[in-house]
Amino acid sequence: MESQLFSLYILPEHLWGEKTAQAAIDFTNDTMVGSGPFKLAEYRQNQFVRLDTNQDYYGSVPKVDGAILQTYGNQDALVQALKTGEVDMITEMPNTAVAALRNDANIQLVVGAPLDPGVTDIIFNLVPPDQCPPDGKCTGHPALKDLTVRKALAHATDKQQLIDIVLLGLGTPGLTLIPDGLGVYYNNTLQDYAFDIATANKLLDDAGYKDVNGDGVRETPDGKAPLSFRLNWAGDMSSGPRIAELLSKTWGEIGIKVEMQGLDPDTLTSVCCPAFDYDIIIWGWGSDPDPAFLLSVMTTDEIPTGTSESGYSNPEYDELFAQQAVETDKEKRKELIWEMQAIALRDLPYIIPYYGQNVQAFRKDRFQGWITDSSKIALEDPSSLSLIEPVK
Amino acid sequence: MRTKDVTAHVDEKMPPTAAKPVLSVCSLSVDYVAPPKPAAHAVQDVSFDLGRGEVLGLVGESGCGKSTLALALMRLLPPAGRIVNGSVRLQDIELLDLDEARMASLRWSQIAMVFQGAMNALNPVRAVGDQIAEAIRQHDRTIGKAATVRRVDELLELVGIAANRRTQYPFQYSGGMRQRAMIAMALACNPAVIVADEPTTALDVMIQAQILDLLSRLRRELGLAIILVTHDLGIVAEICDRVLVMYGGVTAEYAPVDLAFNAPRHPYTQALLHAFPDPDHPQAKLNSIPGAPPRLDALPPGCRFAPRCPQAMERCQQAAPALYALPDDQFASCFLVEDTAEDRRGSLDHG
Amino acid sequence: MRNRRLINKVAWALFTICFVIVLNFFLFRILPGDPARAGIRDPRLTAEAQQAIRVRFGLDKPVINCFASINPPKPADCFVNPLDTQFFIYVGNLFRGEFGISYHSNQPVAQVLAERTWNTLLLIGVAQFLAIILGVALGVIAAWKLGTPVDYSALIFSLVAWSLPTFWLGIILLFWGSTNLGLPIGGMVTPGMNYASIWAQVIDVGRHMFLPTLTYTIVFLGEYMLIMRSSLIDVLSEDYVLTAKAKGLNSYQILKAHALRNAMLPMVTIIALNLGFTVAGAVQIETVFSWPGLGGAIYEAVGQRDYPMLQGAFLLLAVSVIVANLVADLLYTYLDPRVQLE
Repeated sequence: MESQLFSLYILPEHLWGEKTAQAAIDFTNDTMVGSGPFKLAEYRQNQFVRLDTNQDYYGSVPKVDGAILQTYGNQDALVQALKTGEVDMITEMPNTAVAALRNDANIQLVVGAPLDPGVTDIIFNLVPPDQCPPDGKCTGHPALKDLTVRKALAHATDKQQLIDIVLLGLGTPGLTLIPDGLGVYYNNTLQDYAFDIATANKLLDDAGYKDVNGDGVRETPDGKAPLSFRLNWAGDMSSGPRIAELLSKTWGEIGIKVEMQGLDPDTLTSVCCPAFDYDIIIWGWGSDPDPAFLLSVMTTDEIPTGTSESGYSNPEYDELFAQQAVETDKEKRKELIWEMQAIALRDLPYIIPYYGQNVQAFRKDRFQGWITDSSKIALEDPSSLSLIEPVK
Repeated sequence: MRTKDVTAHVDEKMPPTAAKPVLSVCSLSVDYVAPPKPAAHAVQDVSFDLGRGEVLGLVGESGCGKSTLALALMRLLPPAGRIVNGSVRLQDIELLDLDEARMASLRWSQIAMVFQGAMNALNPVRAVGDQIAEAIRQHDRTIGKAATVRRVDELLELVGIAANRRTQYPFQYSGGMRQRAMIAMALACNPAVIVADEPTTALDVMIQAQILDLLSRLRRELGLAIILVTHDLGIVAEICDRVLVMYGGVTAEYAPVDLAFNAPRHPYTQALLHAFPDPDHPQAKLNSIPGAPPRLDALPPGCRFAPRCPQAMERCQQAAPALYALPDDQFASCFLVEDTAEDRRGSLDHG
Repeated sequence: MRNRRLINKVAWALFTICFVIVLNFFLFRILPGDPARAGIRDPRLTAEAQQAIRVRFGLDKPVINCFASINPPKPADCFVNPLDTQFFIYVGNLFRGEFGISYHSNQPVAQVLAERTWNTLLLIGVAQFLAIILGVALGVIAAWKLGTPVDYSALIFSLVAWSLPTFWLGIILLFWGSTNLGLPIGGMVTPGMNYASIWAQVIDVGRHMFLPTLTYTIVFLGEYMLIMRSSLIDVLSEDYVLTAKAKGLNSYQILKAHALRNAMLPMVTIIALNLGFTVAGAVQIETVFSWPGLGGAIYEAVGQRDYPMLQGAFLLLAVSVIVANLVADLLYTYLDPRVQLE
């Protein structure tokens, strides 16, 4: 419900009054009628959006006359545009440019969770044989269904190194599919699996995964299958190869081998779900402001639809998901959601290497008053744009 | 009618004394210089005179310097070719002293050229008549458009090409027609001299005969002086007055055509004649000349023909013979004729 | 003779375009997956909402008839008006200049393509024009001064220009131009400008165009120069050039009357083909300079699986390549009489 309300517009009565609920959902608002602090003055697709200040705004009227949101084709140009003063603020930049901009006296960097928080995930194929969808292949490596192996992999995942190398430091260690950018819904009390090769090795040794044939790769306790996993990632993820490379290194230290291959998104979809024809996949989700959808990804109901990528099935979790969906008390719903995250971290259908952070920047010599201390950063958000005023 | 017109034109240009040669070449030497390779002496010390209405045959095997000599006369050598010595006087004008602009104005108007392989010598994307007209206008800026067209038609008809083919392109012509068109183009400005470089090579016998008839007629009717570069002695016998036999860049023999054929003095001329079918004795055995002409950048120290000469003597290996003047205007560069020489001359003297 | 050849060529071009129209339609219907789902990509859409989307984009109709339908045929489909199928609606719309509605931007594809094509033609037209003029001129000078320092400098410049990575050159010029010349960094116009006159607008667009045009010109100039140079060197060694010199023509006359036209023959083909393909825009240059051209639009449409956009763009590209080829053919006929009459 909340996620549907999110996409409804606040509109004047002469537009809304007559509509039924379904008509309201279907309404596409082609003429851009709205109720915000700015009015659309000009729109050129992929070029710019020009906003004029709505002088009749019911809240506090912005101090600026308007704003232009210009689109650039590449991030290097964006940085250059800020440097030369062609623009006053930029909403993204390559992580490689951060160091240079930090030294620019006229420029202020702002780092934080993005407005649309994303999550990068390492997915394990856990689909139980009895849950295999009708058209599924369900070829996942049996060892991955053993929580001990997944725990060992979690202990052998150096999240800080991944952040430092892949994101050049601009990220926070991940826990579950619910990113820290979701604010209160993010369970910040959970204890992550520490990066510790020795612990990981011990877990595997104790569970009977030994390197029987001395080739450096452990075998399953029955000695039949080596712990060699297929590791795929979406070819359109620029970070994919680097993550895979780093994982293969630390996982190799605990006697686990991966065969790495990037796949184009369509092929990846066809092996992923609901086919379950893979071992491990590196992929990602974008997030709504509400965690409901990301939580649904781990429910049993979503196994045949293809939304569940891991095939994780846990009645306890499913029950909690059902409860939070109908819980109207915000605090109680939060408790349920926190509990679900604890279960997800315990059962490890995913290892979440990190949550990415966004870096934005503005020129200090042009406007002041930007909102920079919010949990999510979005200098371009109307809340921020309506506060700024020219530097005197 | 048309022929008379053309002749009248030429007559005005005729030098007062017909005995005086139209073209006089003296001690001409050409090197090809392409460092770091040694210079190739393509033509050395060649002299000859060409009178009005006279046809000089320039013969020799491939690579003996004939074409280089022909190009040198018009100063059209490729960049590596240098005229290192000698003089070329065309109607009392020393061509080698002229600046490029003056030389350009004399080209075609005084001395024109018929190149071998007229398919390539004509621009494939321009109409034949247009290319002839270009030569006319280049040397007569005052001529009007209609007069140019008339003149082109006249020239085409002179060489036996229908005027309505003026607007056609070279690829629409047969091989013989292209060669005739090339000759028409050479005549465009009434030159005193035409250098025809293998004009009949690659043409069949019938067409070849037509072209030679045409050249003879033009020489007769227009008083044209022609230098005919060829390796075909039959053609020389048919229309030439004099013949200059070249070997390895030098003059082997220079003689009136009947003497050259009936009493050749240089062993190379003799060998050439033996290698050529005799119309009177078609059954006679042909003798090819053993060996190959010398490389022009690695000439033998003595007589250039010595390595292949059946009559070579000790002496021939060490020194090159001079060009000896023999009776009846015959010249040969061979020690064998030294005894009968009237005069020992390194070159023709035009005093 | 000439007219028959012309009619022949045009007829073939039209036939090819018809073929492309049909192929273009089925190509996108053969692609796996439901276009509506692929276009929307939101697994949470209700079945009704998905159907509404299909209706909106005309995907509820059978593809051509019930037998050829890619969706499982419904008996009702077999009795509909045969013209009321996606294929005939597509063809009919094409004749009315309609290419459908973009899945992504919800705007008519024809309108988006028209705007983008104009932007691309402006940039690439000017840049190609400059590249051709400068490349040919440089090639002629180099061939004429063959083997001299002039030739070597021109040759090295062109080889370097040709082999420079476009993206890299663009970024370098962007940094240089924006820092030293104060030129704008991206886009086609300064957003929100109220132009005092048409001239002010031309100047503004010109300032935005300068760097991408420069980049594009440099990249293509090298190719043209190299081809023109080698072509002219070949021509200058032809016998008919010697004939022209023997006729008393000076160097300039020879170049003008005999060498240039012949040397341009291979250039015509290359230029026409380049023009045909570059209607697709120069994605890299458009990306570097945020130029709202066709290349970028296609690139985005591929990423967004915006099938109507792609379908329209592919048709446009195919037609432009066909037309460019036709123009090259006809131009060739004009330049080389051997072609028209053989």
